[in-house]
Amino acid sequence: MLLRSLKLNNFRQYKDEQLITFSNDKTKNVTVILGDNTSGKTTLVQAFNWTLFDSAAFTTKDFLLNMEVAQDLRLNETANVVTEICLTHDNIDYIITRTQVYLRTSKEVTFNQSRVKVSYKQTDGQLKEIIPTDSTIRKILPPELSGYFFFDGERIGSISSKNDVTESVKGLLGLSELFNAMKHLKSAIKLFEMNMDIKGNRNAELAFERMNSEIARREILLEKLSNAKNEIIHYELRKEHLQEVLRDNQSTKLYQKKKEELEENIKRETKALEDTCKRLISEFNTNAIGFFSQPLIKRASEFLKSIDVADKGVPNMNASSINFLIQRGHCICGAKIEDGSEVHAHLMKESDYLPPQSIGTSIRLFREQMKMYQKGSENYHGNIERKFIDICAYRDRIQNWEDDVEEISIKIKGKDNFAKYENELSDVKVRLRRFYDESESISRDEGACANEIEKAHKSYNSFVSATSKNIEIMNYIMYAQKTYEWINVTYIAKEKEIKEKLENKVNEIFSKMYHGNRKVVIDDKYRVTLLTSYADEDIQTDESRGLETVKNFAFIAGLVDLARKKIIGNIGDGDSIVNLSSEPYPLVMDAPFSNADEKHVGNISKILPEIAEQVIMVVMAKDWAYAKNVMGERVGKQYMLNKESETRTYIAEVAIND
Amino acid sequence: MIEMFERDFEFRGKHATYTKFLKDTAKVFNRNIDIYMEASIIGLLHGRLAERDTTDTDRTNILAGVFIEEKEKCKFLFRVIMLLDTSTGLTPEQCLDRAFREDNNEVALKKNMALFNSYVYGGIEVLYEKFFTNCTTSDDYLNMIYTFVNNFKNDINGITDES
Repeated sequence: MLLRSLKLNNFRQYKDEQLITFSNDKTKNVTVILGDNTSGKTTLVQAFNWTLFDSAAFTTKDFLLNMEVAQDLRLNETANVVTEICLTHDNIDYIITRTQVYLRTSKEVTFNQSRVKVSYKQTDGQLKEIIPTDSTIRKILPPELSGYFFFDGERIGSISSKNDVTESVKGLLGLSELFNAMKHLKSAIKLFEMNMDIKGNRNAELAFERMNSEIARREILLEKLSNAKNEIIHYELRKEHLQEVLRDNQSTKLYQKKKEELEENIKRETKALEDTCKRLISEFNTNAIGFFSQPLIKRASEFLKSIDVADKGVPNMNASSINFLIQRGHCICGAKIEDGSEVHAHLMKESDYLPPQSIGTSIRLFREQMKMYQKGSENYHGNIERKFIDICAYRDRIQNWEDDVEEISIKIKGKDNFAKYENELSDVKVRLRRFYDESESISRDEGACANEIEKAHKSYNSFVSATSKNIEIMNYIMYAQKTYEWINVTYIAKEKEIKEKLENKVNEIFSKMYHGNRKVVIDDKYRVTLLTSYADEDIQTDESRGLETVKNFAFIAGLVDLARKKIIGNIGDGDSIVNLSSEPYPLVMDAPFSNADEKHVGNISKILPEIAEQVIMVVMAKDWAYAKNVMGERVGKQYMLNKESETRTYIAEVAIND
Repeated sequence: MIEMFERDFEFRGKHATYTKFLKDTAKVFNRNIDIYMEASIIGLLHGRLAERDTTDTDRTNILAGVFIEEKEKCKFLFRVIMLLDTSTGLTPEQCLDRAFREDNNEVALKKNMALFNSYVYGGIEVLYEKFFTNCTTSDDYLNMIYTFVNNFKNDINGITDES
């Protein structure tokens, strides 16, 4: 599409009739319109939207009539707001005019719904008016895409990333025909099916119903089967895992057994140890006196030997005999015994040696006791020593076994509850059997069900095809279906190709505009996102508005570029070639550089004219200063917006080297 | 006739504590009377006399009935010690008398028993020292019994060799 001119009449601040003619030169394809803020840049671009689509985003709602004109209106007088676009599309020149009538009433100035007129130049040069329908203008430029071509630099934020422009992009890139063909075929098939005459055919109806209910039943069975199969997978995995664990545990079992043996040994030996200790202590106590008194006995024996304690007493005489003699007063020999005499003293001494004062007996007894203890002590040390040696041996063995037990315990730590695993394994096996049985029976059911469906379908077909009309329709349906599939194959391939091409193109342009490590990706709804390559992981990054601007530029440029090329595709088997070509499109931009920085301005300025057939830019003088260096040579026409007052702006053409 | 070793006997103070230690903690002796008898020997052998501790910090006793069971052993030990004690400066004959003739002499018997018991107290102190120092576990106490007996045996043999 090529824009030729834009004519404004009392449209907003553009009072009276004003005309801009756009450069159509192939190399000098840039038209520059300079204006400062509030001079009416945005209004110009919105004029395109209003003319084509009756929509324009103004803050003061829909009042489009120039204020001065509006004020000058007398009661009941009318004024028109008219805009006219001349463009060429598909080699046909179009004139699109939109008019809105304003009327001053006693209260206010009102306006009606605007009307659009579309005319085109015929081959003989005559203008022919067509009645515009909803699709007339849409075919030239779909409204959803207008944002890409009538470009508002300040509102650039969300265009290329949020709206679903799939259909429109497809249209622009030439896939619509195929898509529409397929759509049409699908609805045709539906229509055919509806026209099949089964109303009079009760049997066919029944068969159809039966078929559908069996299909529903089969769905349920298939789902059950899938669930059962999932359970089986889950439990098979578990079984494998448990079996592995138990294999691992075989050696643990052996260790466990050994450990129990050792513990038995330790228990037994400990008991023996305790018994022996008790017996040692008992021995120590019981015969202690005999043993420990050995040295005393030795000394006592020697002592007794050294003192002559032989029985000095008169045999068979005792102390009472002497007492008797003393009482009697005279001795056996007849001598007188008087108290205190020598005789008396002798007799008293003698009685010392006689029982019961005699100690001979006691001593004899004593000696016997000594002998007895001596004898009894001979084995004391030996007994104790033997027991002690045994005790040491017991302790040693116990210690060794305890060390072994400790070692084993460390080895099998955490692994010794295989009883639990064995139980779980048998449980899992039971479950598996159940699920296998279940899935087998469901499979059988499902097989039977499938058979039923086929039977019902066959029976339906045979009932239905009974009427010749139905036979015919079934043929049509088959044709339609085959044609659909034929086109679909190409469509899918082409769409993929175009999307790839678009993505590559956009990336190519993007990298020319922005020198950094970034990539764009286009999803299947044709939304564009910016990724940063970072160690092979593509992550979305927050974007500065500047970068956003460049991205969107790149997308638009990519779209435009692709739209310029003719895309030749093969439909079906290569015999027929269909031209999927599409129109090149212009770029109309309002303040395109307001969010880019100097560097990017330069890059963008260089690329745009190369990509778009036609570039129309409305810019601020200061922004143009940067771009002029790069783009200056491509300028074909230059205009200036002269703001005379708040309500009046005039467009003036200026010489290019200003 | 007064008989010895026919009445209850009570340990007090530290001797009670030591006795309890030897019987209940170290468990090397089964009864208090075993400690009593052993201590008398050890006391004499080490020449260790000790005064009876009268403080009331601890008590333990030997009942008359137990004494009666072991009367013969105790009397034997009494005679040995009375015979061999040299701490009182008596002549051999006097020692002999003391050992064998003074059983019925109330006054002398009292004095002699006091002497005997002094050796008992002394012996308890020696036994306590032996089993208390360097022993903590029941294995230690048992080992000490063997060491005690073994060293004693070696000492005896030493004496035999000398003579």
